[in-house]
Amino acid sequence: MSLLYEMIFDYTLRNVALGTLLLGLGAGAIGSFMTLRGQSLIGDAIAHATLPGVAIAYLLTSAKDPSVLLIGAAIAGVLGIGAITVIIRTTKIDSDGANGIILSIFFGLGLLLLTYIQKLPKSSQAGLDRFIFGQAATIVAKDVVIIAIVQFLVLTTLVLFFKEFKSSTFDPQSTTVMGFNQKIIDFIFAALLVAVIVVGLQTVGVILISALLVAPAAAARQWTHSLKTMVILSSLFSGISGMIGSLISATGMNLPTGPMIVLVLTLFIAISFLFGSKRGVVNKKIAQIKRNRTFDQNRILLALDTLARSHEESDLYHSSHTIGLMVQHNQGIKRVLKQLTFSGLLLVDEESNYALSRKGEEFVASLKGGEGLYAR
Amino acid sequence: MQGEIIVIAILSSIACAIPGVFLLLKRMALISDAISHSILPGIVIGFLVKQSLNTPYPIIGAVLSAMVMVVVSESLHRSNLVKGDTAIAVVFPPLFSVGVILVSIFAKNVHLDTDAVLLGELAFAPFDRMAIFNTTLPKSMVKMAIILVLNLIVMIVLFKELKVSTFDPVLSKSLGFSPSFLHYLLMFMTSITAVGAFDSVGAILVLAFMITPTATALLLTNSLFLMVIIAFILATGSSILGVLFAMKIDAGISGSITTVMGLFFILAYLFSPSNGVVTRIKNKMRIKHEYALSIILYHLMNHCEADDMESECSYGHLMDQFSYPQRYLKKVVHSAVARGLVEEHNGVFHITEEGLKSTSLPVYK
Amino acid sequence: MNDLNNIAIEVEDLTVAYHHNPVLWDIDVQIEKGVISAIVGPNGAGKSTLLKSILQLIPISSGSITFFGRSLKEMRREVAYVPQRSEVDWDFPTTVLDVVMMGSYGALGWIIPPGKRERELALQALEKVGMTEFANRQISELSGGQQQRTFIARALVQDASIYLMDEPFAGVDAATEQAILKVLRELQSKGKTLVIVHHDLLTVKAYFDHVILLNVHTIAAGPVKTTFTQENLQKAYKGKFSAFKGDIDEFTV
Repeated sequence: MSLLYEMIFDYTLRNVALGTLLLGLGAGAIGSFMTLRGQSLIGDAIAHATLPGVAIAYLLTSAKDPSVLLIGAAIAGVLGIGAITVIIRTTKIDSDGANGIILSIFFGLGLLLLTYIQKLPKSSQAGLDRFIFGQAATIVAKDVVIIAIVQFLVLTTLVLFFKEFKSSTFDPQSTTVMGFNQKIIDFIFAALLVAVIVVGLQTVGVILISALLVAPAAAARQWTHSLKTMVILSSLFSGISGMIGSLISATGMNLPTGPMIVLVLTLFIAISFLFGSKRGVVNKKIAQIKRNRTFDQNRILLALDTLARSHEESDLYHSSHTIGLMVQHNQGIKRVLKQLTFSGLLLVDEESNYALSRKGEEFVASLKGGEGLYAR
Repeated sequence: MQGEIIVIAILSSIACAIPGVFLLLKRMALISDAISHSILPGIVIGFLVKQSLNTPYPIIGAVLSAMVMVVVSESLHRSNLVKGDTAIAVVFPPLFSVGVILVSIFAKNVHLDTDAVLLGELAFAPFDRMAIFNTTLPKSMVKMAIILVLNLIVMIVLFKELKVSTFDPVLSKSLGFSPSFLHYLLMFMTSITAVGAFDSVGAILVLAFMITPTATALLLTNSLFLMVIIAFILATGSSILGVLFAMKIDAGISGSITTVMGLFFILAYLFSPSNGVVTRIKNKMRIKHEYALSIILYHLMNHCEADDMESECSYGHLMDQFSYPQRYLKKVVHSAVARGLVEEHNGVFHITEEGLKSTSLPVYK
Repeated sequence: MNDLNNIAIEVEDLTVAYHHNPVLWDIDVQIEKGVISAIVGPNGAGKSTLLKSILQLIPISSGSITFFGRSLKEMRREVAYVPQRSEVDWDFPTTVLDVVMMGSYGALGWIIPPGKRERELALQALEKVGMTEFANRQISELSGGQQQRTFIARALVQDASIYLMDEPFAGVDAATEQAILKVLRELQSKGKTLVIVHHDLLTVKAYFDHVILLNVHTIAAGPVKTTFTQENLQKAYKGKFSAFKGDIDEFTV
């Protein structure tokens, strides 16, 4: 509880909480589309690709002002996406290879420049650690404002172009034929992605920003079949994880932010994968058990129906053994028979023999599409 | 000492290129990135066992945690809960995070510097030596040499099998080479190489060393064998140039080597005789030219004996008939004349014997 | 010179080549308004490529394509495309109704979201293809035939004049096949033009009135009666056709 109190009234914590919350919102949203487009790792590549941008911006301006560096990062990011696209389109290298190459080359160049910078007399540790691991604990109010503006723009753009993103992710060909220039859509998407990544680098760092984009989307997918819900859930997962993770990191034992956020996210994912209502493993198992049970029940009812047709009116009761032979499955049959009796579909006599009740007969008729012996 | 650094760099880059070739061809290049990040928790835990990096535990731990990543992400992929690359993208960050957190809790003070682990520093490698035979050698040199030899042995012995399972997994299975065994072997090789290279090259750039020379080679040839050879050559060249350049401007070595590798890639991208941009543009123009030529020849062929030859086969008519820009048409016709496919008499064009022979249609399916 | 209003699609000198391999070479085709035309040919003959190059989905090496005498850019609203089912990810989180509503996006243009009117149109289209009960079904739960009907409904919403479809009858159940055929005939009766890549030679005569035989070149194009002949099929299928013995008329369904 005191955490909550501090979160609102402590200046630093408040900024940290807000900053990472907002950050997550945009990241989760754009990440949803990324994963659906099959580009889960492009965030990783772009994030790494921003390093030379930061380094060059610093070299050119000698300014430590983060905004300048961020612009450099953004330019590098956009160039990176462009290069990836070009490589994919013009060589036999596929997206996996292209991502890897751009990641490597850009980041290698960035490292080269950065280590060179570090040796320059004027500069100190130019924040390489911060770039790699993120340091949300140092978010100030001004940062929060920037984050908020960027996220607002990102989310608004996403809402405005929602149908275009939806259609072009699902069926890019038809979308193009309908008159939407795919290149424009790709460009908008790339711009949003770069914006989110650049802003998020400070919080989570290079290596882990891709997790903030992809993981919440993967988690959200397990809970819904609607795109809109998935995007919203994904944003929420991301934002909340960001907030919780960074708070723990800031108030706890001085643990680094990025990793903490990722761990919280992983918790969300694990829960979603196991218990997600639409595809979660546990739910699927439960659904399967239910299906098996229904299947068994139906087979038994149909078996009794078949038996009834070949016997006299007076001889409609059959033992569980006989029924078991009919369905070729004796295990647990008594339990299912009891269940069916309990539901009123079967009648049982004093010798524990079973027959279809009226209700059962009607049910069988409906199973067989109205052609049963007892069809009304 | 500089020589030693160069040697270590060469050993590392060639050792990395070997799994890199097969990973790239199997479209699994980014797994190497995931693997190299996933080794961190294993290293830390192994370190904690005996509070030292000089035991085998860090290495064992590293390979183990890398393989954990591989196995978990694959079962995730198979479960169909996620699609494609998402499985990897979701598994390696938590592993890496655990590693970073462990470092900050337990090892902040001591030799385990995250920067070094992630970025490596070849420049320091010569200072960490071991006695071997009658002399001392940098540990990394011995380490990478061993790994390189192991990788080479695996690749040479299993070259056929690796080749088939990379390009045609179904065929591979029917021939009795279990593609999944080979797959895990490849993952294992990648993990060991990544672990071995982390202190010289750094975890982040293992990817670069594995992929970039290979990708460049891919642009230059279609033969797997040549690809490996070219990758080796590029790796060696980049290492030498990279080290020299880094020493000159006093910057990080692995970044420098990677940048050189990148330059080679760009050169190949532009100028590769089979795949480069320049060649592509030329090809496009050539096809356009050939096509224009063929329709002109057809036209001439069909109207050669006709009464309206005068009007149909004159320059003016050709220009009207075909909607090509004037200058282009002129160029095509003149090249046809130069090649002896067409002759000109008084402003009228005839198709020659040669021309008639050359009008073969492109092949049917 | 034919009346421009009568030629729905005119393809001239179309050549599509990748590296050195020609996929389509010197294609000349005229498709009149109001026909149902089948594009047939062996595998790899360029059938899908022809559709895609007409729609500018892939780059072409040379040639020109016009729709009622105009460029594709001007006529986008009048052209609808139904790609092969396999070219789409059916695991995408969306419902049948949603997919069909996508057909109205072109008319809405950028940014403007679909509203009640678009929903209505989508529901009507779903009814035409007999998929009304499936409106809120997740598309991953659909059978092949149901997926195809969804796609057709999406195209119907566009209310175009020209419909280009890539193998709509492939891998669907008999009921769906008849349902689709009914929709197509209805479109034709309204004066729409249909160009369809078709995989099944046996049904060409029954379903179509115009046919284009394609194998990198146009082997033949014209009314089914005169064009879908033994001779032309031999040319198109180059020997692979000898499996069919007997008179071509035996192919009538």
